[in-house]
Amino acid sequence: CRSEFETIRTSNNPEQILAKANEYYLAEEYQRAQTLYELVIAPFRGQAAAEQIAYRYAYTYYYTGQYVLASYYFKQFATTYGGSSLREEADFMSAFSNYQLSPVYRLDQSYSVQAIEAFEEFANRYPESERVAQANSLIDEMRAKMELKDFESAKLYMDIERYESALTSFGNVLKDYPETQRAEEIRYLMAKVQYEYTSRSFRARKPERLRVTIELSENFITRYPDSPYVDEVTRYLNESIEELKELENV
Amino acid sequence: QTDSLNLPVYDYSEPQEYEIGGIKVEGAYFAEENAIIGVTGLSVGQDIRVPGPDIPRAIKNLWRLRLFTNVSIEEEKTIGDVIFLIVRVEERPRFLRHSFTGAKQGRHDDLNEEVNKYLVRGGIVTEDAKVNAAEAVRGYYVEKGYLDATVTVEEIADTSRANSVRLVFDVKRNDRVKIAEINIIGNDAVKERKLQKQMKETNEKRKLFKGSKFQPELYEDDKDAMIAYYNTLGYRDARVLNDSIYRNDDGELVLDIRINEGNQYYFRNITWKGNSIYDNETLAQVLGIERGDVYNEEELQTRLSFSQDNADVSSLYMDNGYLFFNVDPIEVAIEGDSIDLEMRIFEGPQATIDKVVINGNDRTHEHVIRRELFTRPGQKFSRSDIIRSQRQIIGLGYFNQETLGIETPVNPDRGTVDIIYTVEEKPSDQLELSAGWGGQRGVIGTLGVTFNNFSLRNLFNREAWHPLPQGDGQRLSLRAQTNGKFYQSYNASLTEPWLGGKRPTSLSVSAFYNKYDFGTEAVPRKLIIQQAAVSLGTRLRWPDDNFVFRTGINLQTLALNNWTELFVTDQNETVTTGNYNNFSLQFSLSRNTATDPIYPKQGSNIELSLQATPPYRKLGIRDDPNLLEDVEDRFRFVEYHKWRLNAEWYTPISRDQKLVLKTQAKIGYLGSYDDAVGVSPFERFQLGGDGVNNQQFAFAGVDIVSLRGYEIEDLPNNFITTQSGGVRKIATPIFSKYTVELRYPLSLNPSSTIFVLAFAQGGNAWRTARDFNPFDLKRSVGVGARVFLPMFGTLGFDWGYGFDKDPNLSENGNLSTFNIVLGFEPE
Repeated sequence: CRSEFETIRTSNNPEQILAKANEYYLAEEYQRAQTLYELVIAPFRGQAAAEQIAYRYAYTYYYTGQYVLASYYFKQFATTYGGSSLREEADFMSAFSNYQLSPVYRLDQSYSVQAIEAFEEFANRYPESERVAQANSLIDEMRAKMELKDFESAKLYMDIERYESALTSFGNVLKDYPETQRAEEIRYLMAKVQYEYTSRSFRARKPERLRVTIELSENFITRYPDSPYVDEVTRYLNESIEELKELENV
Repeated sequence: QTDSLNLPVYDYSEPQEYEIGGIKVEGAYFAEENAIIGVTGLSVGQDIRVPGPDIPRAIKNLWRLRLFTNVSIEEEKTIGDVIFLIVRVEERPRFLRHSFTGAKQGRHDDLNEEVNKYLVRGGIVTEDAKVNAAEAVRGYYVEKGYLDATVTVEEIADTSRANSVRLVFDVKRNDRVKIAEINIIGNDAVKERKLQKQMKETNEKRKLFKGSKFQPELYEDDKDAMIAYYNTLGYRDARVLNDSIYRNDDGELVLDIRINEGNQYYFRNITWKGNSIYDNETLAQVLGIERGDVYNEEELQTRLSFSQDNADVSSLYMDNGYLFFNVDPIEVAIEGDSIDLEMRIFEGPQATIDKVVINGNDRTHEHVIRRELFTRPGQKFSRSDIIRSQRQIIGLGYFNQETLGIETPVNPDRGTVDIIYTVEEKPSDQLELSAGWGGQRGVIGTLGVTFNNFSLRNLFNREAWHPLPQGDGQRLSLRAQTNGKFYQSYNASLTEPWLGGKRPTSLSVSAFYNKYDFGTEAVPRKLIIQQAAVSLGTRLRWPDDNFVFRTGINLQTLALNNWTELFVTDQNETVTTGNYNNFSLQFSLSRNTATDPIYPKQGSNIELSLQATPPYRKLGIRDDPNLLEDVEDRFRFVEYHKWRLNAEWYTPISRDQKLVLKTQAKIGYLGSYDDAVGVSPFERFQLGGDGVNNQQFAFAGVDIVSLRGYEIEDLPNNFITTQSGGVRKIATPIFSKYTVELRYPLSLNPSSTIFVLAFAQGGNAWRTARDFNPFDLKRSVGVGARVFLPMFGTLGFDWGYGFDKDPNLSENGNLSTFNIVLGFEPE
């Protein structure tokens, strides 16, 4: 009364198990295929069939959504079968599995970091591959996500009026993501935050902070003369110059 | 032709490019040639460089198969720039399985572990691996004290599969060898017994409760421990001159250890150099070592850097952000038995926080954590901020307290430090699904869910549902409870902890509907309570930011129809029928520093609250004297002011902070604005019992407070004598309750926190302020246990013994009571 699957699984006949595993694999019953492939890895070690077993075994994890293990087994395939024609695909899939794990920007981005590293390694190793374009665009996608995360955390400090922290964090976004599209917005926000920070400072700390406001504002105006924020930043600049003059004259 | 003595010589300065013209495999009998070539990664037609990286990589790949005892790749011939390769392998039989003889079945798992370190099923068997595995098995026995154990291994061809062998390990355990004596020679300053005590793992056999097996590695450690002990006494030259180990006539071990104690040394002058932030006196005080103290290197290091309570010199600096601080004690003079030290200090700059990184949050959105942290970029590093942040993270209740990681990698070039918090999410939602026996009222069914980490904004975002929208730190609770006819209760609440995202101002909106119907068509008996409430809570900045102030508005209506229970005034009038409006404002001030919501180890939680209705009569709104005539008219618009104080402290008692003392005081007072109106029959307190009614019949118009060891019936003040001479249950306007409780955790695993407790409690209820006597308490002692399961909340029981029970009053004169806790801790 045992199912066919159970009978095969316990048959202790590697050839038969492998045949059935391949059958399940092609029928897209990946969970069962996985169980059976696992049994034949050891007996087929050093045999020609081992390569396909390892390759399909990795895919069973990918198709069942177990991306952490999928990434691992694709990687293992690539190191074991260095000369295989499937190696490029396995290297790519190892990175792509990590990409699948990359969550929304509000959550931990460790998998994004891993995926980016793996895609970069892929692009370096197979510069001619037609998958390089896709790898690069996925890298861009994940870097944009990480940038947004850092940008939002800087904005959080701005919202809760932790001005120093906002300035440090905005500065870090500019430093860590030189390719950012938000450079103008960030520099504007930095001028704005510094302006508010100064206006809420003790008198004794003001001159020093006013100078920073002036520097950030001037810098912004020279860099983005056509920015929609120019008028506002000019106001920060003029007010700060004015106030600094008054403070220094006293 | 090459051999091991005459290796081919390649000139590494001139690698040559070849094309592979062919690859042959020699020596493979069971592995397939093509498979072997595939594994090498080399293929015909490929360009390779010799010498170059391809050949070594191919050899490595082949080794990794663990099928061969020898692997080499050689050049067969070259024709022009075409090279022909030979892959030579030596195959060995494969290891199929192993077995043990002479070893107990119970040991097999442990022994398998030892064998598997050296032999892999399906891999090859080498002599070396066999010897290593046998030695590992023997080592296992030696460690258990069977010094004379022998292990031999036999290789047997296995017929069930070609080219396979199985191994049989034959174990001869022999008798356990005990240590008969440990003789220490040359000790004058320290007693032998004291020295033997330092040896943790090597003991004489006559010691009770301690093994006396001999384990060579641990014995070496034990000798070091003995010397370390001498060092702490100022004998810094002490050493083991020699030791000998031999068997006595009974075959037991004798250890002779010869020691040279050397001289005892003392601290003399300690001077400080390089300190600018703290003066010499401060540093000397923190160091706490005085001239004339016995020289103790370990103590010195502890006081400088490794103190358990962080009251050492390094902490003094580090806590203030001097993360690059370093102190180096230099012995500047040794005269006779006196040592002068110079403490060379490098203070370095105060580190500024550059990045604050949060890792591991795979459910909770980052801003929910980040906004709680006290370590922020751009600030100076401070340890106390980190500790505070750690507490905030734990306080969220979403993360495993035991695995919370904090790292502070420094960047000395820039003088900055990053702070990396690594969290591990734990389940924080609760599901309540129960059917219980509610006494005479039959079966009660409950369906309740509490989502502690809800995300309202993702409500319409299908992708964020797993299984519900989560991660924004909002709390959503829905609960329905009914036993059909008699009782129905529905309630819902939603809390957003950071309203608007700019301030930790929480907004709670809640509503409930409760219906009790114990009547029949002929004789109705019904109570319906409905309430809607909104409250705002703000974290204060003064006196410190542990304070939270809450304001709320409660709109409640009570509809009574022939309800004769409980709503009795002090004048013994009963409110039985009619609609009553209970509109109140609520204010509370609380300060919470308790570390963990489930098993707090230290800190306190104090809350003072006031709930008050408008004083309608004083305001002239309801000053018609006719309204006073009838008790029901009098309380149509309920008026009162109600005060609650709840204070609890947690004090760790044991060194590992596990044994915790909880001290608690709870006081409640319900007052009236106007003697003519009197104290409201609603909103009173009912002390006694297990407080479980609080859940089963929530919001019954009174606050139900547990008193372990006593039932409600056991407190005389809970009853009032009617004019006809009978007694009637009444809720009281005043109560107080004091508890001391010792708690010890059996498991702090967040998926099931278990602790046991022993308590002493005293409490009482009073009917008027004049009767109130804080020393007239009903005392009890008892024990209990709690289990916290993330999905079900707190479950547990208490057994309490009440001393001050009137045996005539309580049923069958039994002085103890048994309480059950379901879902959450009762008040």
